[in-house]
Amino acid sequence: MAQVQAKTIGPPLGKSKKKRHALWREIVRNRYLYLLTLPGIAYFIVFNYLPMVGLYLAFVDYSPVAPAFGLGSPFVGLSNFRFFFMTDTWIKVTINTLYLNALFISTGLLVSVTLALALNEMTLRLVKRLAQTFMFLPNFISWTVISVLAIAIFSTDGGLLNTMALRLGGQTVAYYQEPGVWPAILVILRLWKGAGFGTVIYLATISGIDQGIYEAATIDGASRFGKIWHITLPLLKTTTCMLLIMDVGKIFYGDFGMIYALVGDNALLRSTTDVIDTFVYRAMRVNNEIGMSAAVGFFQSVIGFVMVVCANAAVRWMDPESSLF
Amino acid sequence: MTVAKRRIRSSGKDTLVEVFGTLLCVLFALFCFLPLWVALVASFSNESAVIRDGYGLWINQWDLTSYKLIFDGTDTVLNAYGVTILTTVCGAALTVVLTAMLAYPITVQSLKYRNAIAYFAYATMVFSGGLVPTYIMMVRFLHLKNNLLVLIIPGALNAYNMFLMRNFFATLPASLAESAKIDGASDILIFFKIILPLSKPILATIALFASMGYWNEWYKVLLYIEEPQLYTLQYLIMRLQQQVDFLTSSLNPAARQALSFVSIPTVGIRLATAMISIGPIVLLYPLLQRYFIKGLLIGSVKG
Repeated sequence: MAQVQAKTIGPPLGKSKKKRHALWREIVRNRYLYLLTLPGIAYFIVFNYLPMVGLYLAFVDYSPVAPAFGLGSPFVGLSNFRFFFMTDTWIKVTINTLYLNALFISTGLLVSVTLALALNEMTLRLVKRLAQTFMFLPNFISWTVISVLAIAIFSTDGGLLNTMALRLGGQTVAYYQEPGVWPAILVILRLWKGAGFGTVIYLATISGIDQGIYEAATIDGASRFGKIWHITLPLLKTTTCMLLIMDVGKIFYGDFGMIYALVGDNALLRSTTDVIDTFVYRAMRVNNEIGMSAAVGFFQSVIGFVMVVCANAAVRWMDPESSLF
Repeated sequence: MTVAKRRIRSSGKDTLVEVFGTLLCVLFALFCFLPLWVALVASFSNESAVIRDGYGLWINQWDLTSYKLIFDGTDTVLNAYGVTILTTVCGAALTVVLTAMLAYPITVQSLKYRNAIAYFAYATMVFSGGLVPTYIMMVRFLHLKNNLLVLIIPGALNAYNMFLMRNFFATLPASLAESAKIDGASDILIFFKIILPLSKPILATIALFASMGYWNEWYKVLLYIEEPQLYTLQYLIMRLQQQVDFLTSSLNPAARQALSFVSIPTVGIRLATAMISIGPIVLLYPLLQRYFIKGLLIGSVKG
């Protein structure tokens, strides 16, 4: 396609004239189909491709009155980047992003696989269905609502945990002023919301395994645990690797929706919860440092892009059938 | 003898595996369900009793003040509910239409540039301009600040949903469209009269995916909306977290009078608002569960 276009744009030669005719004929012939794609293409251009042009903002001294997307603002080279990379903040937010995502990925994987295996072993149909139903429900609850629940559980006055601690003769903990406990809290809340979702995917993979393998193993005298260990787990490997690689591809993107809803503008917790995305948001909306936040966004987009492309390549290399595209 | 012995021993172990698995699942299910239950109970309880005795599993002092306040005392919550319903319905409809219109043509074999269009969509999945350029685009170019459209249009089309739908369309026999074409039907007619009616399962799945996204939206409100009458329910909950007086200051005189001899249930109002925001989700949950799992399976099985 790219070649075809390049040729039709090039100098008029006898051959390319024919090509142009071919292009025109194709468009006329399938005009209704191309018409159907127009809104979608226009949408992607406006909401996805034009903002990519805006990445150039990272290299200018942005002025809101300058014309054309701030593209008319003076070019300043890498000074926006220098501003970000000179401080210690960039190391902190990058490490927080990677660390929290690594925690989410590893715990999510462990809990989802374990629950899927456990669900698969259950023979009480009703209990199994009920358990699955409750596990999947939090997936649909937004982080803002979870934040309300989190305050009811962790707040200092009247919070569930502190009320219980007091009643048992313990000491209260001011969770919302204690950055050290937040990675753990975030992991727990993340599992609460997301583990059921992972469980559904793994359970679907397990139920797709050929039952004949299990029957053969039973005849050979394999125990239930033996079947889990030697059949189910090895057969889950592909799905697991695939989901893992896709998550790792997104490791440079912090979950803004989660962290901002739970932590908000609470500066006391920033040392452990501030991720790249919350940092960019704050730099842009609160401190109005457009150039710097654009530079951080650029940094994230480029590294994120490299990670996603590598991840996709890895998925395709492992199993050409399972990449979405 | 030895065989029988082994079978008995191993079946004992097998039961252990099952008991342990069941226990694990039940515990995790309780862990998922209890916070919601406790919050629901607390939202119907007297707030001072909750603070005195702590949260519990059952209502010990029935009290509807919080719900009365958010339904009768102020129209802020009901207004946010209206905005949320409006954006969800319009957004989901727009998502389904836009997604299907782009997904169908790229499954038609005779369309020469279908791969180019697919790559064009795919690129948006791996690369994005990020927050700052998007923000400036919305605010300075499209002038969507404080406009309800900013909560509906951006996010309506994404490549992931598009490929999910394409994978479904690709399973429909191509001969259907071809024979209709021979009979003189145009591609647009084929799309609306033949393809869409056959694709109800995927349309429902995408509509539900999208509805969940729109229903739980607050990020765009945070970025682009400053007028309180355009707040969505989720963003209202956010605001109530940060400043409870946001709602109490909008109370009408009658509600103020009634409250003058009781303290305002600040936590209760938050909990009650959260509960009414997840009410429709819980009611629709059987549908959600079925179609989401279906959608996940379509997504994980390559089409």
